[in-house]
Amino acid sequence: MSSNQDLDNFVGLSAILTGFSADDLNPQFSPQPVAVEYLQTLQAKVAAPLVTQLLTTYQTIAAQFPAAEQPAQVQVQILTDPQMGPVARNIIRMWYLSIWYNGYDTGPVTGFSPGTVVSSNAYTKGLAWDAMQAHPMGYSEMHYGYWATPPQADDSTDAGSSANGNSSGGGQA
Amino acid sequence: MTEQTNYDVVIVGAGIAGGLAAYKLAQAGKRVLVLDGGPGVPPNRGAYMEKFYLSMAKTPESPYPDDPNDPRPVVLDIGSWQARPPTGYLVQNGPLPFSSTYERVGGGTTWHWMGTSLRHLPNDFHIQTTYGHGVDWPYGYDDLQDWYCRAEWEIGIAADVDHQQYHGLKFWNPDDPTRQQPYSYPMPEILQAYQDQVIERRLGNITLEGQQVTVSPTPQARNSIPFDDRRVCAGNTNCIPICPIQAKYDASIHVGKAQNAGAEVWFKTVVYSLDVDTQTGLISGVNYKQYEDPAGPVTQTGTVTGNIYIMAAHAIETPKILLNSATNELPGGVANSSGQVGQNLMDHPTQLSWALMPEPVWPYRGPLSTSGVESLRDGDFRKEHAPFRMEIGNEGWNWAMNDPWGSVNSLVAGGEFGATLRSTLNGLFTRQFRFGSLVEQMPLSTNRIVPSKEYTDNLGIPRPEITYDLDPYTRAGYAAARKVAAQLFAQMGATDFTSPNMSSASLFFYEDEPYILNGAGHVMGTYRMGNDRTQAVCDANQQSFDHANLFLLGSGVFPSVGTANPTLTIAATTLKAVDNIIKSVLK
Repeated sequence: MSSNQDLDNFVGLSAILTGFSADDLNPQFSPQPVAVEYLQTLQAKVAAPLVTQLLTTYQTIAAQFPAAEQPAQVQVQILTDPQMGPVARNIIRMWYLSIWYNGYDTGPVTGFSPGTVVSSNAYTKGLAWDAMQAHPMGYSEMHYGYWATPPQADDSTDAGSSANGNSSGGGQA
Repeated sequence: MTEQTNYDVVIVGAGIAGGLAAYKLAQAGKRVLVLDGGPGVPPNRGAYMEKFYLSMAKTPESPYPDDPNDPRPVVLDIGSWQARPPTGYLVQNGPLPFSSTYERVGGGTTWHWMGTSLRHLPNDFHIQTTYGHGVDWPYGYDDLQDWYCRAEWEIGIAADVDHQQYHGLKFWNPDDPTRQQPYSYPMPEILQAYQDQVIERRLGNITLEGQQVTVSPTPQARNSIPFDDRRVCAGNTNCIPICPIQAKYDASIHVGKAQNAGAEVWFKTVVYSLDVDTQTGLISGVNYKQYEDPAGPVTQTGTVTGNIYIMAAHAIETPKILLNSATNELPGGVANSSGQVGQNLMDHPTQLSWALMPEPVWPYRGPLSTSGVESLRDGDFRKEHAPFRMEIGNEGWNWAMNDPWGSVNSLVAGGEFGATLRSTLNGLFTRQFRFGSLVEQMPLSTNRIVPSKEYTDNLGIPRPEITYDLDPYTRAGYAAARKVAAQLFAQMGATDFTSPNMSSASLFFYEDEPYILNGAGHVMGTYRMGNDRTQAVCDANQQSFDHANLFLLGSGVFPSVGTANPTLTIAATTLKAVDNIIKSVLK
């Protein structure tokens, strides 16, 4: 079982790793919070002491540094660490692609590497689709004709709001 | 063994050809039985969607069951096509891997077709006469026009006639013998993607091989308005592998209509040979094996009989069954006095070229393709090299580079994270686009499918063994398609990223330049029709020259394949052939 503190630390770390805000990653009102699924996947796939080390390292960074300096600290303290770095990179992949890749700690991972799609719920919430301002292939909440006009303006530099291109009703032309 | 009789028509295969035929024959009051090796059409597509979501590789086959008793080729087998024993269903001899796949489920491969519904061009029907290459059809465009119209209304095609009248294509109301009254498709054309508009603007005026290059909206079998009790397209960008909402037509629709009209359909019934009455030369039965559990044993074998037999099992499975029916009296197999059964296997080898636009084009939105460049489908250059149509993909570099999985992984491996990763991906993904040029392949007697003497499937039925190569004329068309794509990228100011993977199992060369072979999923030519019974398997009515009560449907009858995706022409030729059966054979 994961404590709320574990989840908070996981989401906070994930926000720095992915470039999406904590609210984007774990909305307050979500019927199927994918952050919980991802944390459970992490805890199931990675040895408990390493998970604890990862989350407490982040917690310490969050407590000691202002927000603007935290990404650089995550890079130095976590991403370059020989144990925590590969785990952190697999967490990025999991958020963007909804996949936990096997063998992340033993060799290079590519788009063809073996792994597991965390769940169908996770597939429809992959951040790669948000990064392209589109929708998961096979899961559109848009309406006929939206594709004839550009999506809403890119807000990927605005950390306070969602970049989800799905949220618009669509520019039906 | 059990024997079932009293059918007017026994149809093998419940895909678009078998489904349409069963529907029309049942509507005409005929007693129809359809046999299909696959599982039935599921009551909803939830299980298929779940399997798709959870698949690591979102291949065309990924949503559909991997049943040992009902095997089919999958694209993940292509990379190891030389392995022995074969890792996949097909036994591939090379020298190139046949790279197209198909489904053996109720509704057939239309579950994962694109929905592109172009007609063949008038010149596509007589390329030997006009250009000195390939083989002529036994009839011309004007003979098929009415059936194209009926197929378009049967399937439900969204297009505007005003945008489809190129290369001599003419349209008229099929019920008007004077050919004067105008024709309309059943639905307005699908809105073109934003990207198509950018491409059209940036291309401006450009002429290649003597042709003005234009971007044309593609006729598509997807709903732009509610049609046939199905909803409009919501742009799931997933026509291949599966439309989640059936806004795209698939043949499960006509399989259902056939059942409603009284046709019987037996699923999980795998046909492996036909019997011939040696006195009359007529087909006298269809032999099958049935299973209950898709991985379990055969639960029943039997023979069904009828007055008329229709093979609609797909351009690889149909010749496999005909050739597997060889006896002492017919050592070459059924319907094979010409020796052409299984020969002339063709695809539309697809040249992929991909690039980045200087501005966002917003891919990964809308149907997988809404426009194409049709300008080089015909022209005097066909004397020199194969023609091609350029499909404009709406899925960025998904096909070309396995994105988003490819780029996310390469950037993460390169150390990117956080806001930089996100903005780098945004800049990359939103500017990606590609052309997929579908090249007309020439028929070769050496490109063929035979039942393997060495390898059988789970039910003991010989597996398809394939020999496949590209002739020089087709390769020249492939090279021309690549060159044209590069020219168009330059014209648009786009950055060309096309690079052949030199370690690919699908690598081939033309004039020392490397290319990667891609399949279009268009399997054609293996039991062609013609006027000369020494050169063709069936006549213009798709009636076997050898067995008067045997008819052959599907893209296997195409003597040459043009550059149009085959499904609409499968439907048109099927409706034409079945109309003849109803009016002249079973009257």
